[in-house]
Amino acid sequence: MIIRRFRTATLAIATVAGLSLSGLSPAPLHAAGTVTIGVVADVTGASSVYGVSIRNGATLAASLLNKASGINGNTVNIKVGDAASSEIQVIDLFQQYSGDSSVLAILGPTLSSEALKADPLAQQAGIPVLATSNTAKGIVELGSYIFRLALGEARVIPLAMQTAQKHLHFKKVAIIYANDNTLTSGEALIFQAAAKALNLTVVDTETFATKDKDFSTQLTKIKGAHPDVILAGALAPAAVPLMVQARQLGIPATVTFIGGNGFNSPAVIAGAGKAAEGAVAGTAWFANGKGALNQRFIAAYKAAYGKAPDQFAAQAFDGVNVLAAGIAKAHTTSDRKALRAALATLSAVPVVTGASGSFSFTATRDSGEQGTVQIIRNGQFVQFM
Amino acid sequence: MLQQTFNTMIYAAIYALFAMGYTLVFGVLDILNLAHGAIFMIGSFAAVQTVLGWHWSLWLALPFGMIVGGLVGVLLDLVAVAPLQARQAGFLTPLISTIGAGIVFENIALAGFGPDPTGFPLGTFPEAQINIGDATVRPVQIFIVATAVLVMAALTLGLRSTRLGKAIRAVAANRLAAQLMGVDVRMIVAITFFMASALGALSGVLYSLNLGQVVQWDMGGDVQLKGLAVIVVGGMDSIPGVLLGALLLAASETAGVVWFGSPYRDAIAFGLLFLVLIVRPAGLLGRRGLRTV
Repeated sequence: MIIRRFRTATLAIATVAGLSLSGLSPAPLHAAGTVTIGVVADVTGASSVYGVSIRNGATLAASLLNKASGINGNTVNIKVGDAASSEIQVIDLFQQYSGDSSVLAILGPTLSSEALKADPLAQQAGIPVLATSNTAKGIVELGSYIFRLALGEARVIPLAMQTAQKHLHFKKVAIIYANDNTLTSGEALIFQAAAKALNLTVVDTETFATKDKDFSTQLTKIKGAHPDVILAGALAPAAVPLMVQARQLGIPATVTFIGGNGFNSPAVIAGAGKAAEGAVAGTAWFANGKGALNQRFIAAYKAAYGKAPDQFAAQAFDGVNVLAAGIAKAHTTSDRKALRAALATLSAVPVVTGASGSFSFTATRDSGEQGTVQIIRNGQFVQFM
Repeated sequence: MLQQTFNTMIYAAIYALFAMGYTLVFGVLDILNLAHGAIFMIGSFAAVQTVLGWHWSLWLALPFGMIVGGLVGVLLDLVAVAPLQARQAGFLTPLISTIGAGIVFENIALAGFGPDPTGFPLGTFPEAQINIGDATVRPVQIFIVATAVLVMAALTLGLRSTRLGKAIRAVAANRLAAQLMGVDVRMIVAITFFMASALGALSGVLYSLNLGQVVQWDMGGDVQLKGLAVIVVGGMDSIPGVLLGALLLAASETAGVVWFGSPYRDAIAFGLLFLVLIVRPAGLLGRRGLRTV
């Protein structure tokens, strides 16, 4: 009796899990006329701030494509796998999607640290991967099947620092970063290199752990070193208390924070409030861009999810559209090799991210776009030129 | 230097309040309650919810968070500890079941409140910058340290001289003997869980008041480990030991950052604690070795 009940329960759980894996469109997997894109995102867990946006952006792009007759008349099926912010789960999903011949390409994973471990598996299996949120160094170098739509930090951070330097004329910088995360520790190296290139003096370097919430000890040291600017390699959940505590410890508001990609979230403004004023970050997506596609994206996103999109949603949205352009060009629903070749030679795909709004890959399968720099003023991201 | 001393005192106050909950439960039941970190989180959510959602004053939210935390502690005892104790399950099984309960609590919070951090709105506690020398202290931080000192003093006195305190100590010293003397052991255990969890919740609320947007489903994980370190070093069942352990941990963390740089913070702090344990395996003020003979 107990065993039978247990079996029923397992069956029920398996059914529910299966349904949630197949995402919004319950289309049969191998039916003719379906193109399946696997999305691997941290929908739950520590990185869910980003993962939820990625899932939403990708799903929205697919539903808009399907409303407009799909790709070459085929329905787009987004198969979302929740990696739950676990690297093991990311690897699991990559293996699962690589082995499933109905999945034509993978969009994801959420974090660079996950990508460094999972992308080689996809490369080996020969399934194209499009990274929409992995901004660390060494992603596209993982192989010929690995493409990146996200703008690498190595391009965005120096741009942000140059732009800020032009206005603020700072000389002394302090660096603080999470040293247990691929992205943020990579940012620290880029901060250092860019500081050197701009002839800045690094007066103090501090580290913390990604999950830390109290930075008073480190900030006290930074305060004592009197920097003009604080370069912060922090994801949103740490960036908020970092900025709030800096002001509470009496570091004046004239000491500007310049952040990496983690700062590009409305959660930073919502959480840090007044303490976020004046913070500068380079971004791949300028939220207040007036382009028609961008406006349509923002309106559709708000209608579907009841809140404004962020950079990660925008990049995932573009990611699906770029993959769709590649799939259309390759005229396939199952040939991964043909898709890879088509992606490599794509040109001028209309997108919402980037400065030009028209996307192509570089020869090394990286983003060919330029970033924009934004500054937080009166609780809004505005363009900093 | 002065600023770093203040920073240390605030850390120590939070660690000590939190670890006190461990000590109470361990003293009475000889088990570690590893859902304590989750209760730290639940108390914070409860208090933040009343302020954000229902616009309560902080002075109502604070006790409310403690009561909710305390009640969840009683529930934890009823569901995850008492049934195992009734079956003579030893100490390892309840340890595992409290870990499980903690995971359940965390995931309920994740499902209910989502993954984004929340917190008390700015200005919930009157904000001001009090400058002492070149150091800056906020009123809320003075409040935190004062609360911790008061609560610990009250607890020490209460355990020493009230009827309830004596009953708790009797159960801690010898459960069977206490029962034979007419102490309602089940009741005392439930009350202990309530007090311990209310302390955990209180430390969570104070922590959130200090740091702002930090209330999140997994916020208890870090303090949970710190709290364990505090009681191991202080002596598992000693209240002054908890205070000493908390000060030592906080001071060595700060010293690690100041003198060796932040990458070495935890290595310095935990290395020092390790040294303490080599010299005094029962902890600084622990009497456990004597008691179990």
